[in-house]
Amino acid sequence: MASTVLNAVSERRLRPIYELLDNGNYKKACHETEKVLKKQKDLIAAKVLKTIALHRMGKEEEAFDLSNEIAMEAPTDENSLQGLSLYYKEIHRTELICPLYESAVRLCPGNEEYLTHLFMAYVRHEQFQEMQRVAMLLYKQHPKNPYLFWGIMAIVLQAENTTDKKLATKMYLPLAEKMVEKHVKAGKIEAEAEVKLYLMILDLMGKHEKALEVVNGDLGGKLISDIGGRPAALLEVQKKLENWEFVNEENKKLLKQKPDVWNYALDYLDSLFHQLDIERGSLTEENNFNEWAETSTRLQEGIQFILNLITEENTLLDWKRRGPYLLRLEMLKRMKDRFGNLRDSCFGPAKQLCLEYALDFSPKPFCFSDLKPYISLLTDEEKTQFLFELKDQQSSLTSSEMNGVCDENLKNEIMKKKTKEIQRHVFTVEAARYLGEHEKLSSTEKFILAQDFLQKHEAGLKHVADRPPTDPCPVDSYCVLAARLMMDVYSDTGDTLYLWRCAYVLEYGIQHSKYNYEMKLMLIKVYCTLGAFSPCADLYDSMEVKHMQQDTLGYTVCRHVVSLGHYHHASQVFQMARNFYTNNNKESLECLITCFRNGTFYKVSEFVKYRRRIHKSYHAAYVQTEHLLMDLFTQGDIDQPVTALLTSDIKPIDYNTLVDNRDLKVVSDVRSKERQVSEEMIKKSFEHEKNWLAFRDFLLRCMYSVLIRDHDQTHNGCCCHGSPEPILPTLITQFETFCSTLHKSDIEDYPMLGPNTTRIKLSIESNYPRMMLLVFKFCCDFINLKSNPDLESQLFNNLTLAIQLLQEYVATCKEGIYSNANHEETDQSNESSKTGLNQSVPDAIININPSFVERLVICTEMFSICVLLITRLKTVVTEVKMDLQRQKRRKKGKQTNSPLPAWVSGYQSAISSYSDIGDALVGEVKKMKQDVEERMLDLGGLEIKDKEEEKTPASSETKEDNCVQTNGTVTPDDKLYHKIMKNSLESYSVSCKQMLFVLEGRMKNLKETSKV
Amino acid sequence: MTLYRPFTCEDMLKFNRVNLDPLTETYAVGFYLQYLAKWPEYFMVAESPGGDIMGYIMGKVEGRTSDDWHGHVTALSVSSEYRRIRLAAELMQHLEDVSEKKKAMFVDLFVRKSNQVAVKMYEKLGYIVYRTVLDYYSSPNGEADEDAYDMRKPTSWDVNRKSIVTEKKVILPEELN
Repeated sequence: MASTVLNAVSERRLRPIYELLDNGNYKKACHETEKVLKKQKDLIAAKVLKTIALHRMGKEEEAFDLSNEIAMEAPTDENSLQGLSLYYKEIHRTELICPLYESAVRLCPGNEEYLTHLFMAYVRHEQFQEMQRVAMLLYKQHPKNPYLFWGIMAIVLQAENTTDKKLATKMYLPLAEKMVEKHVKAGKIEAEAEVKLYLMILDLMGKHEKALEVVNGDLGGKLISDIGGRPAALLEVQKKLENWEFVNEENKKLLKQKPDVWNYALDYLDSLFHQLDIERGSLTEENNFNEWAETSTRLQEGIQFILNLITEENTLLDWKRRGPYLLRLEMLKRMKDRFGNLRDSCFGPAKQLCLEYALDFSPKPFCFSDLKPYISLLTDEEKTQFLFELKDQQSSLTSSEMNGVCDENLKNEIMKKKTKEIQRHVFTVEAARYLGEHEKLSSTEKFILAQDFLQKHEAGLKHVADRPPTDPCPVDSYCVLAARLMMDVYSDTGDTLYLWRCAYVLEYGIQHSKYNYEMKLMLIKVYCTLGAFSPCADLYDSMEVKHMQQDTLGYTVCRHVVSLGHYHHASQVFQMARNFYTNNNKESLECLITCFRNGTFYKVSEFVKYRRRIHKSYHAAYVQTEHLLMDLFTQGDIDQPVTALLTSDIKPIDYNTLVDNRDLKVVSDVRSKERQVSEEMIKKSFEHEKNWLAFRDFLLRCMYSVLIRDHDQTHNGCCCHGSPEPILPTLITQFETFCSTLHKSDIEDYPMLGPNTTRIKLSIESNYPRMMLLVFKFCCDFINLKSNPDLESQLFNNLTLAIQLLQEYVATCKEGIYSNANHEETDQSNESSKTGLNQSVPDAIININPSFVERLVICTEMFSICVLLITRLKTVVTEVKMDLQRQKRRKKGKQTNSPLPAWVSGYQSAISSYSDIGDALVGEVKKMKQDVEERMLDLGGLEIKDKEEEKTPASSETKEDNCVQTNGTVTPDDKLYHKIMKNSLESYSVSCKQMLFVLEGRMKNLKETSKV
Repeated sequence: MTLYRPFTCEDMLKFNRVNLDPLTETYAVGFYLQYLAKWPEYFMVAESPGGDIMGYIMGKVEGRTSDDWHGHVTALSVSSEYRRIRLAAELMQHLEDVSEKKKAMFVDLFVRKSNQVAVKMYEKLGYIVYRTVLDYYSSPNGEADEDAYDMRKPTSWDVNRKSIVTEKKVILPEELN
């Protein structure tokens, strides 16, 4: 058997090198390894360290070659194996760890540690069959329980992941079962995890009878850790066995102990209705139902059980749990769903039950979402009555304002009471909104209502003044409600005036409650719609969105950060997101291995599924594609040669398996069914987003294809690892097919708090895909001209059309950032109800035309990509010129002076056409920048005044306090509009600057090309 | 009305409304997964009838000696709209039950000294401030670091309530074992 440890001398020689590597001194480490290798030229461990040092010094190819050399030598010592594994992990080629340990295991048969490493190496790559083989080998040589169960789990994984279900049920699962049972018979089961795996196998096989025996038998005694322990496991099996009698009785007992546990309630009702279904048999007529329902003892008992729970709960005066009341509503709903409208409900009318629920629980913020599913039990007429009585109920519970000085205890009491009142009122408003009352209001009425909410907010502030800022603040809801109304008016009228007002309301709300994420997320949406990204970046940062949240919440900023031209920031957020996906992959893999090490087998499948879900996340593909593409059009040949950016390999995207991980429920609005953000809406938006991704992916691939050709010629090397890209003509055909599927009419706008409007919409409007298709076709012809001169006659047709399309679209973007829209003022200036909403929106922003920003950005992008591609084609022209010169030299003395081919001048005229478009675009962006910056200068004057004010002893905070104290006549903080203006204008200016950077870079490219 | 169930990987995609709370930290994925892989029974989620995550508790069991063998609450958070319905108490109860089954001597947790709402709640649940750990919470914004209370509650296995007796009421973070 080969040796697995280094001798003492080697060990001593290598030790300092480890330290050098740890300290980041790679050059010295490399040097030292060479010194060691001079003395011991066969010391593989030294070569391994050299590989690591070389890699970390950036000498990647050299490092990789050396690693291959080492692998050929099949190291067996621990140092080399671990070192090389580390190297493979660093270069993300962990699949190479498998053959490494395979040979080590071959040379050191029976080495437990190496076999374990080999097993884990296969875990990393989901090679279940290999896992099984290695685990069984391990068990044979080292008969320990965990190894056997690693193997059994590997079999279960094969069963779960095979496409051939027959193979799973006929081969894998029976094999796994047999292996466990053999072990059981031998009395060798040790751990709870092993029993759980056994139960999991039986469950997958549908052998619930057997599972019941296991749970009831000796092995069941090991089930202690989980919630409910063995009895819960037993109940699970009985459910599978459809032993409804048992399930019902058990859950009854559980509900009596804990009436607030929804699991029990659900199981209770499920089992009851299964029993009722059986009893009801073939009855179909509604009348029969009524008759039957009245006589069914089981149903009557079920009802009585719930009534008893409620009676008991009613006796607890100060602390009622919602469980029994929700159970009653759920029972009613299920009865109605199954049996239709029963003549006489034993619980009383649904409306009454809803009102009772509201009476007890509306001081809790979750009350409305609890009650929502049951409002459907009411008829339209009852809904109106419900609302009417609800308002009545609420006003009867509202106390008069208490003013004046009072002691601490009383103050606390008042505060508690006021908080409850606010919550009740918010509940009533939400119910009204849900039942469509807000939709019936005119814009003016909505505005007045929003004002009313803001007043209530201001009045309520004094009751929450003592709470810690990190605590949820009930009055915030008023700002949210007012903001929703402003969004409504914007959606109805399309007038951005209301978006600015909405921004005001939310800024105001956040000023008083700086940790409220709901308002922040709403405000991000508002600013993005207004074309101003900078404030969103700060809001997003202030919520500390990180790690997993980047996958689920990244969508809130990652769309607009590019579409509004904030490229620097985009680069940061994309990079952060991409880092997350890399780290997630690494960390989740290590934890999957931990599952095996700790015997948490039943979590293995869950981890595997989770890893796939993140791996297939739309957002992951989006940030990767968008980032690579953005780098090309914002940096390629501008601040670095485009060829330097072409290093990353683009993996193909499987659109059918992409997963939508956006959390669109994080902020929701209660609205009537028709206006609610629905699942279908989210699905639809996801389909459009996939189209957008496909478009970006085509752009990227086609561009790579054109640019790599160029790169290969000049550098004569390869820059892309992995699978060879399909060649340009094939890509173009696919792209063309894709373009023909895009239709603008398919795309709708979503509610403000729903999904983002997809970017594919504007790109279709601007003819972006079609224009690019023409440009790629031209590039393809141009590149192949030399080998196929027939192409020459039609050569410029495509490009001319592409230029024309771009010209036309750029020409439509001339109205400037300030439009002269008329704003219909709804201000009903009512002196007694003065809130921030009464202030007029400042001139510097009121006429901003937000869509202009996005259109200008898309023009910039289109222009940049075209110019990058076209100017890169100059190598074709240079080649021809050089050929001609060579010919000239050869034919020296002869008179024939062959002229440049006609297409060269065609190329030059295209360059000049692009220069013209560029001039126009630069002009537009500069004009926008100037317009915006003039307004900023005006603001500058205001700002100086502000600063002087701040110098006075009264700090802004105490001023706020004063505002609050003066009860009723709150002077709105007019600094807020100043802040909104300043941040938005700055943001527009940033957009302009970053567009100009790109445009001017491209103009330079054009100038240089025209010289050639 | 609450549905209690084990926390699963996919819950990380749904816990935003809980984690956007300013006092709730969102950890790297590996941190959650490590807990799921090692102490799955210590990681539980509470779900509303509508399917929203109301809150969750994450913990572990550890200790070098049998006297030191204890349950630990790593994270406990309840979404803002589901506060004040004794949900945290329910989740704590669950963690204590699991710890009892694992024969832990006590359950402990760290809490910001300033988080009075939480401190009071833990006291109500029978926890006492065992000691103060100075500057335990580092603040990223250059503000002063914050002290933590190390709070404990003995389980039924600690018959003489030995685990809550200490001579050193104030320690430095590096003194934590």
